[in-house]
Amino acid sequence: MANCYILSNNPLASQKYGSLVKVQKTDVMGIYTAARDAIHLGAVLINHPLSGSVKPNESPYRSLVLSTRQAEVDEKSLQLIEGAIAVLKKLGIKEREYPETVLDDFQVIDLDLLDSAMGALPAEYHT
Amino acid sequence: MRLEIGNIFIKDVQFGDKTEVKSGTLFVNKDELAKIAGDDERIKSVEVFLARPGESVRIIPVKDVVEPRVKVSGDGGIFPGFMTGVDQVGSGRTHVLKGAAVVTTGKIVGFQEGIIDMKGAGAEYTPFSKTNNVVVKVEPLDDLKQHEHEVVVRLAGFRAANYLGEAGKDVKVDEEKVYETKPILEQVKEYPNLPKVVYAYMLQTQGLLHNTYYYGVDVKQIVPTFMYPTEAFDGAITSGNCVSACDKNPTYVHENSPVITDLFEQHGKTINFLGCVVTNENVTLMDKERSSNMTAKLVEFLGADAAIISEEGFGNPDADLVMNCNKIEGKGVKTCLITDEYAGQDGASQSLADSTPKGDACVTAGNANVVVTLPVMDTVIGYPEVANVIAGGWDGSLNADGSITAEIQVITGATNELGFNYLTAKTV
Repeated sequence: MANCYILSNNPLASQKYGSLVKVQKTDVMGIYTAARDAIHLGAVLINHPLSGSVKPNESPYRSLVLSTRQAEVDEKSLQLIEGAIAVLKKLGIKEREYPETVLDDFQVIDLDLLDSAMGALPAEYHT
Repeated sequence: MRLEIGNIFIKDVQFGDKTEVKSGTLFVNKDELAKIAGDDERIKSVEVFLARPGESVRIIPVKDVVEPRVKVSGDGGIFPGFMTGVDQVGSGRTHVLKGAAVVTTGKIVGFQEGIIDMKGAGAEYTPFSKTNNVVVKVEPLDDLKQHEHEVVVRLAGFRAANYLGEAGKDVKVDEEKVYETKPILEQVKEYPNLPKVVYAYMLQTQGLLHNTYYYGVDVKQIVPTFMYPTEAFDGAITSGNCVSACDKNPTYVHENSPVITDLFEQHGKTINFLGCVVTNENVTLMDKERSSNMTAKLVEFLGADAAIISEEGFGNPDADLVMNCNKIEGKGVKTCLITDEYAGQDGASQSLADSTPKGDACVTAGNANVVVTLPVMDTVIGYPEVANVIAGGWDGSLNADGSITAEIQVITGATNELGFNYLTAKTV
């Protein structure tokens, strides 16, 4: 059983990583708050929540890799997720309807950033 | 490592029967350039345009800007690992078509950003409104996937730049510069009484449209390494980074790194510039820890008294910047950081996503959230409608009359974190 999982609202992530993905039908803030909840229960954040230069209020997709660990709170992970939430609040949610092709592009970029993280997964998370 | 740079000042660019430099004008054989840039079976068509300073022209979306250079003597060629072999570059002699640039344009992904205006308010924010631009618009085959599309456009730009650079090989230069860095033990002895400075050169390396290459290697796959500063002048570092137009480093900026040239300017006067540590900005926290540990170790090993650390991008790389700062300071080495800010449209919010009390010497390249209106241009090269979806724009950024209201993040190089930009602070 894997000791990490992916929290994502990107359909391409579940296509590629299957049961490793906890699909969330939510927006980026929803992914961040779900990650924050998990971190409060002891999960460690493996990739940076602001990955990529695509700002969190630009892309509707986000994929975060977390450990399944349940223990005391990892302060660094908590600091990073709270920082990401603060950045998203600061930049503000931009309401806009993206065309299908642009949504597809955002999914591809998010998947590629996730692939970078999964390709560099620390040894303790290898299954 | 010693490099002579011969600058040939290009004051104008024109189409002509033959690609050549005559009396400061770069003449471009349009068909030949299109053929060479388009020499890739994945490309459907290439169009070539010219955009000169002061003309009413907008280029959107800009992918990369590349300066034409050519090796006259010395090992290797410009853009090693892509256009030539992997010989070490940075020595011998290189000629530069100073004042000319290749600008690549073409849709890769729908939200890709980058605007260069050659006139008006936007021109004040981008250094590439002052260059004589040869714009290469690349259309790939239908259904080419995003990853391949990015490679195709990137390489087309390098081929175009090297083709134009060849025209400067036998031309009498207008300006001579010589840069030299000696092997570390000799370099330390040369100026024993000056403070020794190392430059930690952070590169954006996270994935598709966020990559940078060193001798053709994806930098996210390296551990930090030493670079002689003049290697950058021969195109050892190339950009595959299309996202965040204002604070990404186009290939042109790596070729002209202002941090390196300024450090050379002070070399032997106020400092002893020992060289560069090339490092990355990866996505996992363990990679960030490993790379910042290695960077700090190299800076310490080189015997630096002080280090300049420059960032590329915003958000995630702020963590790398802070780690590099903390760990290098932890070795007893003073640091000075270069970054830009996302401080909100009113400039009142926190500028970076991370911070450290040790970052007490910090240079900012400006606030990317400042809103600007870019006036209508007579000619638009590319696709104006992307203004509504690019980072820094919003639904409605493209006004009915063709003007654009957006944050300056949409402008190529507006808040460049190597300082290759025009924003400055003045006491009033």
